[in-house]
Amino acid sequence: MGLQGSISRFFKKSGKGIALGLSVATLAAACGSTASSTSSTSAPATTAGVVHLTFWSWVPGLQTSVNLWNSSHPNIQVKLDEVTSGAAGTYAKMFSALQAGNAPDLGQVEYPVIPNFEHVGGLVNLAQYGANSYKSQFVPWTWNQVSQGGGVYAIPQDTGPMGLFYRADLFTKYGLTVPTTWAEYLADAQKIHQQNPNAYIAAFPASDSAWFSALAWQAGAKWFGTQGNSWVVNLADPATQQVANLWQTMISQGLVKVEPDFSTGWYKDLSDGTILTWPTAVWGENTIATNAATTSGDWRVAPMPNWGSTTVDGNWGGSTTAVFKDTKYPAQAAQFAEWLNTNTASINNMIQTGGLYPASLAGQQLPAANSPVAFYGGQNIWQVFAQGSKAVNTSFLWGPVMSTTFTQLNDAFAKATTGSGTLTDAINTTQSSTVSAMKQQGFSVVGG
Amino acid sequence: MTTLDLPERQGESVGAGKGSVKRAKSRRGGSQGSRVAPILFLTPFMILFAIFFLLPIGYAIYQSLFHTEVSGLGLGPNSTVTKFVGLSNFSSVLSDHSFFSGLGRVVLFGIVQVPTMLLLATVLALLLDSASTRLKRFFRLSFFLPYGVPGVIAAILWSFLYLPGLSPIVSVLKSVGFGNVNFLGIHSVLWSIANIITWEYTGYNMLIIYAGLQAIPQSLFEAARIDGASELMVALRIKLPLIFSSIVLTAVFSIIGTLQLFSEPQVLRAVTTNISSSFTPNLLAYTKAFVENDPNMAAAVAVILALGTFILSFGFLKIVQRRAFSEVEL
Repeated sequence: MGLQGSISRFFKKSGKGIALGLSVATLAAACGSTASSTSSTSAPATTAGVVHLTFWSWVPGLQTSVNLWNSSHPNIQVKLDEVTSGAAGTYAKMFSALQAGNAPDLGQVEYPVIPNFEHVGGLVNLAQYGANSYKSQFVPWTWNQVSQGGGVYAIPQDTGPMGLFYRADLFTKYGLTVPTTWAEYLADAQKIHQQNPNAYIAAFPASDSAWFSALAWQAGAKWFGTQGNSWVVNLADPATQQVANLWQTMISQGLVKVEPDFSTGWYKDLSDGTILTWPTAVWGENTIATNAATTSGDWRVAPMPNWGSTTVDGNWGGSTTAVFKDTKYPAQAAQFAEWLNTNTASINNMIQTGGLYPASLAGQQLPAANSPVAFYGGQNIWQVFAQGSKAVNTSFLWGPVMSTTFTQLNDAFAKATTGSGTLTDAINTTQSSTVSAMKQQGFSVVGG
Repeated sequence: MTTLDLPERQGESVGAGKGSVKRAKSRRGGSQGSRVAPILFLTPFMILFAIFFLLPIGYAIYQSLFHTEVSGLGLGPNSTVTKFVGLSNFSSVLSDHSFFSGLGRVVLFGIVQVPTMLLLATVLALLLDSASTRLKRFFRLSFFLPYGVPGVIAAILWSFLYLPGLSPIVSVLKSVGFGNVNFLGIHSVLWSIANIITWEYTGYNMLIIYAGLQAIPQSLFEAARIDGASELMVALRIKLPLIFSSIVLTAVFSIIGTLQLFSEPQVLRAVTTNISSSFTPNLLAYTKAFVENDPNMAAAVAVILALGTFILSFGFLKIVQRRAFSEVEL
């Protein structure tokens, strides 16, 4: 299983390679000649008052939810196009389609990319179609990330509240207590390493700065904000420094293993006890169960260790349903986006076949997302995440060029973990490189 | 295409010079139809060439002259304008040190890997040429086999052989006493990629050189043997000079391939953090286009890279041309 998972991961990654080969096709799409001719350009077949909408998404099994909608809404028929995940090429395709004026009516968009789509003017403000009345149904932080000023630019779908996955059997073996603070986490890391130099408390994935952003988020970082007509960028704020210092200490003392996450070697380390914990989002549940299947019954989940006495959580991942500007039926598209993410049957399907953890508060109470899991020794791990979800810091916002920022942070972390500089240097470098990248594109930036 | 034609044309023009003049004269008297015929024959090629070669290149150059500019927060439909900026994308690429460190990396890679691979390919071709008939087939196929494996698959395959904890090579080296060899370290990863490329393309290059060897008339070898030359002497004094143009050809292909290095590092990024997003110029172009959503900058990188490839491959041809082709035409 582990090998299979990693191979499919490889293919997913190598899919990017193929994307370059197809760049000519992408360019052609930008001319508006090919590609999404199936979407809104040919869509307005409003025979007998039936509205047809096209929806691009990569959530597995979403068709079932769409079918539910189609059978209960005969006048608004949604056609689901199953696409590859956003970062694997769909965002590039969406941006090209927006430029060409033939984007689909609806699309799957992850939280960090929303500002990017907003700044190319690609999203419809759903506030004019009653979106604000749904605000109370969702986890608070998600609403902050989909709204800007008085506008609502997407409907939250799923989230990734963080928890600490740990090997309960090995914690007993090494005589450790589950850490409730990051100081205790560091102490545990030292104890593990003293007893077994080949065991580590965790891996530090230098190439996955999205993971780091979730930890910074938990620590109370506020990387981006707006002040009047300018962006405020603060990647190196004290909260982020604190996180960077902790992991730098553990890297310097050899207490964590620097290796990419979701890689073959990392799966092996999760399976054979080289790595004892993984502070990660709720969906990590499936990652461990699939790729470290032999450790069934050994893992448990605890709330994230905290920086102070108050419980705060971070979030990693999750996405939304957005309506693109090219739609001819914004009201109907908005109606579908709202239904998809608030209807009980639809949410239930997304939890069961899509493996999503809903952004809907009611959805989090559904039995599918609130029952004991055999792999985790019968622990109802969802309760940890439901609690965490409520405690996620609501003030964290994403910037307008997040993919650039993440790339810069990855490259800087890679440098720091190979001996040139520290993680703190890396976040300082990224602060200045992100600000200069934003300024180069013409954004107004203060605090850089 | 033009690089491929060069050696042939040069050889041809010497031998066929007189004949072609005559033919040209007789044609002048021909009907209108014979003038149209070559155009008709060329049309399918020219159309495809225009659609799949000139048009994309032209579009890339066109794209590289624009820049998407944002104002204020960059939110809302009117905050973004795409405007003509002339060559400013090129100047920002040329002042970007990550572009040059990537370029430096592939140049270093090329200086070491290309000669190594070609030396290996030449030696293999010479050995194959002197082996017995039955084994010849087997070796020819087995040397060529890695080329049949797609580059991405080859990189995945090798990544398993490089990963500590999974790799039999790493564990054997450790048990023999080499300690923990890290094939994916910050300094070693480039050479691990070089190894993949060498594994993949040596057989292919060998086949081109081997084909060159097959074209040498047997009478030359017979004459040499009568003069008492050993097999080694035949290889060094007769075969090697005569296949020099084939080696030049493989070198040009390899130089182009090296500058365009992309899929192997991209695949290995999944298993190591030591390959940055601008590891090679092509990877930088990819990052600009598909990660940072800046196709204009990516187009500028691609155009500069294409120019660089053009200059390097033709520069190399210019340097070796006189020597290569004077030897051939002996």
